[in-house]
Amino acid sequence: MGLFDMFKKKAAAPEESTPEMPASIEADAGADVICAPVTGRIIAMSEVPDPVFSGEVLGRGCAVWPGDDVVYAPVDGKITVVMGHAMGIMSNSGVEVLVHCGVDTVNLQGKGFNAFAAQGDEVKAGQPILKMDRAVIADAGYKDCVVVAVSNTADFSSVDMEGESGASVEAGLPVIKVTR
Amino acid sequence: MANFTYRVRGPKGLHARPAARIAAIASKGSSRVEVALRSSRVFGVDPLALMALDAKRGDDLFFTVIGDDEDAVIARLHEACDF
Repeated sequence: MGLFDMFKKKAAAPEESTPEMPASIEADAGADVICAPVTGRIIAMSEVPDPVFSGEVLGRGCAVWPGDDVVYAPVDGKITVVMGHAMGIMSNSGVEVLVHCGVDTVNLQGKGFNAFAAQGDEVKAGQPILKMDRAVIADAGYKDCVVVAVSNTADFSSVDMEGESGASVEAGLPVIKVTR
Repeated sequence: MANFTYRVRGPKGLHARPAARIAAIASKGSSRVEVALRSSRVFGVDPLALMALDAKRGDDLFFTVIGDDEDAVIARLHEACDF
């Protein structure tokens, strides 16, 4: 590689290891509504294969077995936490949402995940926040269900899943209702 | 007031599982729990705030507990600091 190659490559496409940002999708955002972060099959929180989530220790909500790799912001708000496999968002209406991709995927230390947002970013519901490589997750032996937990559930009178467990859902559609 | 410092040992830092455990302990007790890392200070009852501290291996987390059951809460927090 020559000394001036970096200048020649200036106008070239991004490195192959970084996926391009997918387009934002339409989302039924609302102050008391949380949208599905990924397209797939929705399940009750109690069915998530991990007691920290199914025991609602991190709050009430639901989970989605993903049928797609792109994860979108489920609310309008600000990113408060970024870990490779998870993001925390404080919605503009005061709902703290944890989007956690997979069970025990923290062990991957970010491998198989690409973030499209950083801590402090303002995001809109339907805006892509991360992309997971479900093949990498599966090969490592981890489950890939995307958990959506309202970590400040105690601040509300109820946090309920909308729809039936097992139903198909598209990213951007409302899946959790928060009642103040 | 009771307090202690815990140096994060594990490679995963203060991730969802230990954050949930600390938050559960802080919520169940009547004492006020605060966790600090360098200049950031958060309430122990909030798992997302704990994760937002972004504590990594080698970081020193400073736990402060104030209240009637502070000794019991501190003991439980010590047990939870295994990450």
